[in-house]
Amino acid sequence: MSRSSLMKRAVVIGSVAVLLTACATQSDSEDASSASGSAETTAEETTEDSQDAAESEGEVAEVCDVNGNSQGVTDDTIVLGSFTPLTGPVADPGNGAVAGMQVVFDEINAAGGIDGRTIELITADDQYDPAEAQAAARRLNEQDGVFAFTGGVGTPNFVAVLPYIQSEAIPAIGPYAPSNQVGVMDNPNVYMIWPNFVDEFQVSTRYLIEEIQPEKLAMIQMQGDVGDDALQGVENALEGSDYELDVIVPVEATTTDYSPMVQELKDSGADWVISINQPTGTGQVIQAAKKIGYEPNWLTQSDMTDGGWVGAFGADADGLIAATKAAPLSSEDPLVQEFVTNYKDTTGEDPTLWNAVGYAQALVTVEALQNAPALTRDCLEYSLQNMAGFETGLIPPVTFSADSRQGTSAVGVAEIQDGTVIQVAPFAPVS
Amino acid sequence: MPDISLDGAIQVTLAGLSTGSVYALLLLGILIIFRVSRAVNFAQGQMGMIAAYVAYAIIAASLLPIWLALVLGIALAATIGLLTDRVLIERLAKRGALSGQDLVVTLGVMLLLTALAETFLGTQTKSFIPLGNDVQFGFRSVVVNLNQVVVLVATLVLLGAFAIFLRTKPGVAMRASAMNPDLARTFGVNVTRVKAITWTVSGALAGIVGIIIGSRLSVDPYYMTAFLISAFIAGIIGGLDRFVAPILIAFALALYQNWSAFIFGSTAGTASLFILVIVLLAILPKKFLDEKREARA
Repeated sequence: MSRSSLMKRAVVIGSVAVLLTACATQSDSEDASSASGSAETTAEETTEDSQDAAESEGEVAEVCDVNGNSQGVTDDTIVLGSFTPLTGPVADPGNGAVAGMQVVFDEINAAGGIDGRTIELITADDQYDPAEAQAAARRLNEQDGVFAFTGGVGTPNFVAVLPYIQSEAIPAIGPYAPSNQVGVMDNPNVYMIWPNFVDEFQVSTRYLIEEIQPEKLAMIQMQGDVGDDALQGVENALEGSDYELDVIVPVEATTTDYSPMVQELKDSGADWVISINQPTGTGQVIQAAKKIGYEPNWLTQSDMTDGGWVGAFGADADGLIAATKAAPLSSEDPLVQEFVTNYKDTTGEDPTLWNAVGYAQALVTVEALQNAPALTRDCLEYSLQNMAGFETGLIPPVTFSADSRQGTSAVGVAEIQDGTVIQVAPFAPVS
Repeated sequence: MPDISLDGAIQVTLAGLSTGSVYALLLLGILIIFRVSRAVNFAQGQMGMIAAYVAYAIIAASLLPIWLALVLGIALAATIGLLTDRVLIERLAKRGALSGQDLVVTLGVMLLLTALAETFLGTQTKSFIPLGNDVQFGFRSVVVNLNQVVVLVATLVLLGAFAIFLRTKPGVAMRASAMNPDLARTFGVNVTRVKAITWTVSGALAGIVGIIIGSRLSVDPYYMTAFLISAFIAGIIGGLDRFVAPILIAFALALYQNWSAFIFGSTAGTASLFILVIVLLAILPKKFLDEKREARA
């Protein structure tokens, strides 16, 4: 999305806001016009309009406190917080997403901000560590006084903060934490814009068995919720088919030598290995397999469609397929190319997948802020719950409702071909 | 438990020996520093990371030939080792404040090096030059690469050379400096210089290890952490004031890790590692090794 289209959006929404304001104060102007005649008719219309406006305000007031105050909002600033890995093994995705978010906020601020308020983003480094994430979230909320949480990358770190988010009723928008604990009404303050790993692996595995039809399947699986979700997705896809996982090899982030794990995969004779692991670990596993003369095909989570990962490991991963949650940046889609061009013009750098993740997170956040009846936390959530078909150009249209916190449910499939990520199956709803 | 083929068993064992060799080299640097300066160097891994990362940056920018970039990286790690001694450790020692504070100082150096790498070189993982990892040969279905063989042989040669060095005049000076610095000075040994040389050599060793591991995996600011932990585990089990036992344990540890991960899975492998540590430290503390037979610094 270009700067100009963002500005246009700001202008359009600003215009709507002006019209709404005009409606709300219409009685005064109508009263003035009544002095020049048609007093009876005008008075009736005025009464009806006032009643409509009052009813509309009343409806909103029933679901959010339009007259209240929330921390993090002043006359000229909206302070948002994001806890995310800025150092440690997931630092690159975390920093990339923050950079993508900042591009959007800078553009909005340059265009006048949200109702004249500039957006200030405060980031806190959680190092991908659940304990650090809990401390970071608490610090952002209680010391920095942020209005809401936005963005963030990483599942175990974000999931660890869910109880705190719920207890404090803090809106959290678009975290890249594809857990089945997020995007559900059990955690109603979190608005998810990324399909979880269950959906992701269900779609990509189904593509694998239907379109590629491998001989034999194996899986290498990181431990914890993320690995469990991925396995669940794989099992959902395999259910009712002739396929089964020949072996499931566990893997840990602290491993110094992947040889034993890839040897077990090699011994299974699988021609396709499904992998759920940290991106760096995934690349190292692929290289370790190659070193012992084992070169199967790989199916991984969407993280491996990032240009940075492809640059580091793509030479050993030709033919790798992965689910996609965001459109590959090599896509010819005009909206995607608009983002790529705009990002490069703004920052001077080619965007990565993680920049696009942050960009999409920020666009959804801005959209919610702009449409909020008032800048209170519950009105922000009201705005989010009324978001319908919001287009970022990078992810499928985002829709929430009063009883849905999963904003997107479509997943595509991509393949690494000669160092380029190519979409091989379009985004399709998860069934 | 997987079906274990002979080839698979050989493959896992060879990989374990190869990993053990890098544990041993990393640990050797830690051991010689501990013996001479009585300091525990937590920064040993990150000195290696800096060497590899800087070499990578130079190579990626095509600034220098690969061999020169690698030499510069190792020289940088050696310099960091020297500076850590001269600027920090030696000053603390002169104040008589080394006991315990060396841990904080070297931890600080480790964090500083990490932060410098994050700031100036970035957090994105980079694929390092293969350094022989892509030259493969083998027998039956066992595949070995040149990097593994060269590193294993070089490590054994280096360890042998070090054992011989300890019996030379400079080696005796080093041992004397470690055992009784004041007495060594009365015999004309420049203890300060010996310590500086030791830190420099240890830094260079860290650089070599960092580059070897980087060529096997990839480089970013964090990739040495797991190796440092394993090296320290071997050092703690074998004793930081010894040489032979911890080095042997470094090899044994890598084999143990590989085999337990192969048989029980990597999750059980981690648990079994700590069970091993507890057993060795708690149940067999004194009888485990006979110190008198060891080559001691």
